[in-house]
Amino acid sequence: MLSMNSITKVYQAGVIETHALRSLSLEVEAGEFVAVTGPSGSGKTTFLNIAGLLEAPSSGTYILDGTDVSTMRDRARSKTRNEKIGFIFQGFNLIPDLNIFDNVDVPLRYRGWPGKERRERIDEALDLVGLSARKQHLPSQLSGGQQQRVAIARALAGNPKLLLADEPTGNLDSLMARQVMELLEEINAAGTTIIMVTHDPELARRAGRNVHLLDGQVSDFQPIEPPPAESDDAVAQVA
Amino acid sequence: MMEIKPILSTLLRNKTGAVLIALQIALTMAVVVNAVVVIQDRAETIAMPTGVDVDQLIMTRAFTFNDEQNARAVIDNDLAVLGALPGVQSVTKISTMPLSNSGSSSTFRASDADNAISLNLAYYQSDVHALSTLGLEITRGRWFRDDEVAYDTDGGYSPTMVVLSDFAADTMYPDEDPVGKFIYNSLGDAVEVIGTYDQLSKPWYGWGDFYSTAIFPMVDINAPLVLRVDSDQRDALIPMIDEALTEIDRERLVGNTRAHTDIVANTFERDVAMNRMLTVVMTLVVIITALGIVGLASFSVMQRRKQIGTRRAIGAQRFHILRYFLTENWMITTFGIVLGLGLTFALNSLLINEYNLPKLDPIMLPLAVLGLWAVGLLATIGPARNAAAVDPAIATRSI
Amino acid sequence: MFSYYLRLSWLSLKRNPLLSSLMVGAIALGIGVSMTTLTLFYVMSSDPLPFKSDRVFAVQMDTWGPDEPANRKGGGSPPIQMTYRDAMALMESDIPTHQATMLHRGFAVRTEDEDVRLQRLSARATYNGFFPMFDVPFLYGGPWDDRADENADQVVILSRESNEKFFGGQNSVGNTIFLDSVPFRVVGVINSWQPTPVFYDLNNGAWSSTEDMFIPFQIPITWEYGAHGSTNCWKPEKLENYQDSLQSECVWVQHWVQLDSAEQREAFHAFMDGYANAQKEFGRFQRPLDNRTTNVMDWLEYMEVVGDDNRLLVVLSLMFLLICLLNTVGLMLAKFLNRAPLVGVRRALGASKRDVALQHGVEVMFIGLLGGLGGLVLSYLGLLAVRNWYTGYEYLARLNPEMIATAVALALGAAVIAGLYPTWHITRIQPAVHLKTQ
Repeated sequence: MLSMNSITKVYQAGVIETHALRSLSLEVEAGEFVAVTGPSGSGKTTFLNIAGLLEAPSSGTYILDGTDVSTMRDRARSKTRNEKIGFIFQGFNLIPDLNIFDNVDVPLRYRGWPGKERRERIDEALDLVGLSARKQHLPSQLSGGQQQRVAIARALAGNPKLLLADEPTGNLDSLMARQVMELLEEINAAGTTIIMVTHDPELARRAGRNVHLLDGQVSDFQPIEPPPAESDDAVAQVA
Repeated sequence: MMEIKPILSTLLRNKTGAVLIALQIALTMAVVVNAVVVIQDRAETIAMPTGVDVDQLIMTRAFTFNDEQNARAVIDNDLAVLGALPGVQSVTKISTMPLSNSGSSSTFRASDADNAISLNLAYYQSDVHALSTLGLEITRGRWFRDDEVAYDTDGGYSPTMVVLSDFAADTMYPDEDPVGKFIYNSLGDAVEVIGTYDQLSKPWYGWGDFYSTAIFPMVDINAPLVLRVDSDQRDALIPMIDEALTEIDRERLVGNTRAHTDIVANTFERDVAMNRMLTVVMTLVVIITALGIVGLASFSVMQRRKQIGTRRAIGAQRFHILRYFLTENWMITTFGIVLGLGLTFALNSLLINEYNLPKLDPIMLPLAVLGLWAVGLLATIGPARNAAAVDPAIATRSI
Repeated sequence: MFSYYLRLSWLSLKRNPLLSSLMVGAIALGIGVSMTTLTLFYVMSSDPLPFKSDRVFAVQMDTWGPDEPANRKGGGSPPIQMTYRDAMALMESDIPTHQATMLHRGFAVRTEDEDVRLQRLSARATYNGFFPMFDVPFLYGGPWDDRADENADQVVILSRESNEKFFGGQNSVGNTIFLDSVPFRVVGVINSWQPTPVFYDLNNGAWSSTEDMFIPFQIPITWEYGAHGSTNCWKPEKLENYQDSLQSECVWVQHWVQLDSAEQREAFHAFMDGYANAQKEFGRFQRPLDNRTTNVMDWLEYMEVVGDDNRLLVVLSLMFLLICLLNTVGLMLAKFLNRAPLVGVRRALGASKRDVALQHGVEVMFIGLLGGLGGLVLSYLGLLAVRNWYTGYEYLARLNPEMIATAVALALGAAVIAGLYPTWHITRIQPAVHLKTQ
């Protein structure tokens, strides 16, 4: 499904170079549920951005679903992202001006499907997350858990082969977090490959496989994860 | 102010918005200052005194096509009838009026010598009543007598005496008493100067000296009639005058009875309209620029809410936040003003070359600078107050 | 996809109504102000005699005195009007396709109905060549014939408005009206005709209306009438009577000719020069030979019909438009950048840079279109104000279809220019950067 070979990513800020990823190699099989863990600054976010085609690696090869995507131009990358990848963010990232239906519609619009097909697909996706009744609501009218379920519906609407989740339960209370996690497990059981970045060991344990990042590389050593004292949001926000 | 340096470095890192505002300020300054130059110039022209009591005068006309009539009798009757109307102080028969845009001029020489001073005189032809009706004052010599006025002359008639304006007399006879001197027309006919009056402008604006005028004692039967009236009766009198003149002789064409203020307004109509248009453009420019500043300042506050909250959380008072934004805007405005100074002069010199615009008065620049500072300050005060009202707790919230 | 983007634009405008109206308002004001001045300028500099303005010429002959030129235009040029005697000499030529000497003056007019009060109407006294030369459209009847010109027949052609006034718009050909108590037979009624500017005689204002009636040129001459216009003289002459004025060096009539080919024009110039040289024998035409024919558009340029005021207003209002544009650029940039996180989400969901650019491009055009429509309304109001402030601008200050199209195009162009940088900027953002934050 996904094959990364010697991926490096270097950020240049003035004269300072930051090596976010150093020769990362990773294979993920179709249907796997992989949790990527690691301390702040270990390169989790960079890995996710590269895996999701939001950023291009500085070097290395990345083969997604049998296609080399590491050298694609913007339009082809966007098309691949749209067709093969679904995103779930910690902050949900719903578009506040659009209602639930229209939010789920966004990726389908970029796919250029006709209206009827889009409507059917949106209804299916919202059914799956149990929010069919809320189609006309705005995101601000929903609870955090519901918003995240909309985000999942949006990610699934285009039938992606790969679902990328970035701390999907990070902003939710434990009850809602459990519901979202169960939903993800169902989706995985139905055949969608999921890669989830998290630093919650509880969540990580529920995944089929754990990959631990340290200093921008996959670490063979699996430490016993201490509960995070502080959110690594702060670091991310500076970026 | 100690904050200037950090503000400057923030501005430099995020310069597009600041540059846009500064450019707007600069252009606004150039447009406004140059528009004011034009407006002032026109306003001065419009305010030029004509030498007559504009508010009290009405001009009218009664054309006759019957050339069998006795001109003197017709005119005397008209004057008597009009003079009897309520509120009419005096009436005169005169060829034209200041700024009515119709009249004649001719070049006269101060003596018959070859090197004599010559001057183009716009001339009026009137009866004796013009002096009191127009409100002129004799400064030297005398005004003509009734028996000296030529009534309904034919084309070849040349007057024998003239009353000059002080300006004309002083120009033609710089160091002498003009009374008793003769002025000469292009054919060499001599006309005696019997007196001078204080001030009377030409019937038109432009083409030479505005007060270079003369009055000849002669009257044409179809010349206009001018009435001096009580100013509060003026507007009511206009239809009555038409009525009275029509009553006298239905075969005459009566019309175009107008207050002299309207005639003057008509002459300067273009200048007045130009000033109005420029004022509108100028006002809109300032408003648009101010709104632009409001918009961008609001955005910059919105984007920096978290940062502002953090500052507040670590001890900045509301006043500091307010001051920060006002200072930031003041710096942008000032940068714009500096650009604007150059632009203003560039536009001014372009307009001087292309459109005979007057040179701008340097006193306007400090005024413009103060004005733009005020506009910038007023436009920023709202957004800056919003910034100051940001809740410090926002710093610790993640969303 | 276009309608989708249109909907998104609408949502985006609604999201921040104050800011959106500021942007739309800025464009509308910029367009409104510049369209007002541009419309004036455009109408002022438009061709008053379309299709043949390059074949119709104002005639000038340099009859002025030896000491200085008649006017300073172009470093000294002939008087802008003609003497009566020289104009009459040119009328003798049969080279031009049409030609006409003319003057303007007022008459007291009444109909056969004695009860109707006398009215002062303006008349153009001219030759019958005037009508075909200037493409004057007739409603009833037509021009008088050559004999009427020769004999100073008492015939008159009414304007449409005068015909309304006197005859209720009926076909009045054959009826009689009185000019200064003398009966005239109506031979024609012209349809609405208003060249702007009234190029053929600029003495009474370039934007005044055409005359109320037209009569043969020799009528005022026989009646020993002068013109209402301007008379300029250079020569000290004793003018004892009307015949003296006719023979004087004073210029006071206008003369126009239609010359359809270069050969015809050459022939006419040869005729004028021959005449002028012959006159030199009698001590006239003391200046170097300078006879001119100037076509309509060049004549308007030469007479500086489009005033400096109008040019100045155009310059200032274009600067105003520029300020409005800068304003809009700033606001759009701020608005777009504020939305960067959402653009990041869209990018993550599969929008390419091109999609993002299209979405914002449509929004920009949408704002431009609204601004253009607002600008049209404002320029309509602006022109109303102009008509109110200037007398005689009734025919000038009007929006026509071309100007409406120009306004919309200008608004869209302005919006595109204003939106170019912000749109480019928004497509360049790194989507990943904005996904973590809210």
